[in-house]
Amino acid sequence: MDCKDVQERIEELVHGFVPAAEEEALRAHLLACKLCAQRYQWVEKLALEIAGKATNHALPEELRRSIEKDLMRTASRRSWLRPAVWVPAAALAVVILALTVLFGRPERRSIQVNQVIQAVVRDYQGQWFNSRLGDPHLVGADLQRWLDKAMDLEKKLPFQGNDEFVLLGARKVEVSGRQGALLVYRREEAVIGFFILPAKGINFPVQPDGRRRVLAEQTGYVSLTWPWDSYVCSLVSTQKNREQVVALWERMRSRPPSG
Amino acid sequence: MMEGARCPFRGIMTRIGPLSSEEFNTLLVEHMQPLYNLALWLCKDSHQASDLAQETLLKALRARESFQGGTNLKAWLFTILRNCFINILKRRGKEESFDFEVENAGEVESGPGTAYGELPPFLMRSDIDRALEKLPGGWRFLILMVDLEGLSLAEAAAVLGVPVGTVKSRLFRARMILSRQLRDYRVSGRGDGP
Repeated sequence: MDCKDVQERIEELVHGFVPAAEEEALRAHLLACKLCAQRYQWVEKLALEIAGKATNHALPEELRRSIEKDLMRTASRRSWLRPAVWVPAAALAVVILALTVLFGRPERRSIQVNQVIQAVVRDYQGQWFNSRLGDPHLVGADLQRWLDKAMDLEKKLPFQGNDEFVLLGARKVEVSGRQGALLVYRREEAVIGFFILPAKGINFPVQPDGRRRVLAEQTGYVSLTWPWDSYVCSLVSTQKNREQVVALWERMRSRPPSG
Repeated sequence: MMEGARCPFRGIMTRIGPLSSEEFNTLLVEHMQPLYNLALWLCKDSHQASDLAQETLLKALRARESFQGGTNLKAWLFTILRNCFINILKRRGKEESFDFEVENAGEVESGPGTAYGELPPFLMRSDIDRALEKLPGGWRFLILMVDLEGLSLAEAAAVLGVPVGTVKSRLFRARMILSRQLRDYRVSGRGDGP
């Protein structure tokens, strides 16, 4: 890999679009080559300055209202009485009911808790993270205290689970040298991992206003990532659980942390 | 490790699978903020930006069926926004151009040996805004799509309808111009001392 190859890839590297295997080689070159490192730093600084400081013009309230009106008008044209809508909905309701009966019993949940956490971590580990597991924590009233201790979390958890989204347990994780936490939720048969990591050093431009969210689908996985003050949160699950991931994210967003 | 798998914390994509009408509408509302922001950066006038954003939304609603699940909704919307803006320029019959043929672009050096110079250690929001405003519209649109809105180079290339290599070279040139302007502000503008 020569300087030309590396400089061709610098934009992607700065913005975090280089596969892990290739990134290693690029970073090794940057350590050894002053010229390329200089260009990398130059691009990175400019990109971060723009991401952090370019004015993000707020959507005028009047325009927002007008848009919502447009959308409502479009929505009202659709009839909910069409069989194409209610037949699948009814079928889905039956399936959900069946799943609730099958999987919703408390004893079944408690048996699976540790296995599920282990499986989630094992699954994600080696896919994306150079991660290491810390001590386990089965959830309870002291979850917030455990989190504070585990990763110096100064914020109140956005959502600790309910009957719909059951919080199964938590693990301390170390992801690329950063101490974080992994919480595992389950809704019906969908298992969703929730990572909280300190944002510092994570290679993507976190917007101070917290408006950026990321729904990334890799082969077999879906993840939804967003900044939360000085942390980065990410919900991860298999692609078939995409809607459940979005629903959990909505739940977390609808109850913003007060801390 | 899965080929092509990426750390989710590094992905800036907003990939959307098959969506219901309600989901699609909800996402449209969510994307109005970045749409309006880019529209205002392009038009430099809030009324025109509102019209542009609204026109984009209406076209998106009409073209909903052509949106392919699994592609980036934001990039799709930016493509519509760009096309609407180009149509507005055409309607006005303005000489103003949205392409990338800028004066003195040939002066921008490129290559492994290029000297980039140091950027000022501290830049204010107004410095960044002023430098961006001075960029030709198309370059500003590209750099904001990538740096501010988080599109990948491939997605930005799709929005502009050009190869990824072209996006890279345009980004580089845009950064060189920005960089030069920011250094000039430092030298001639705010000054170094109190």
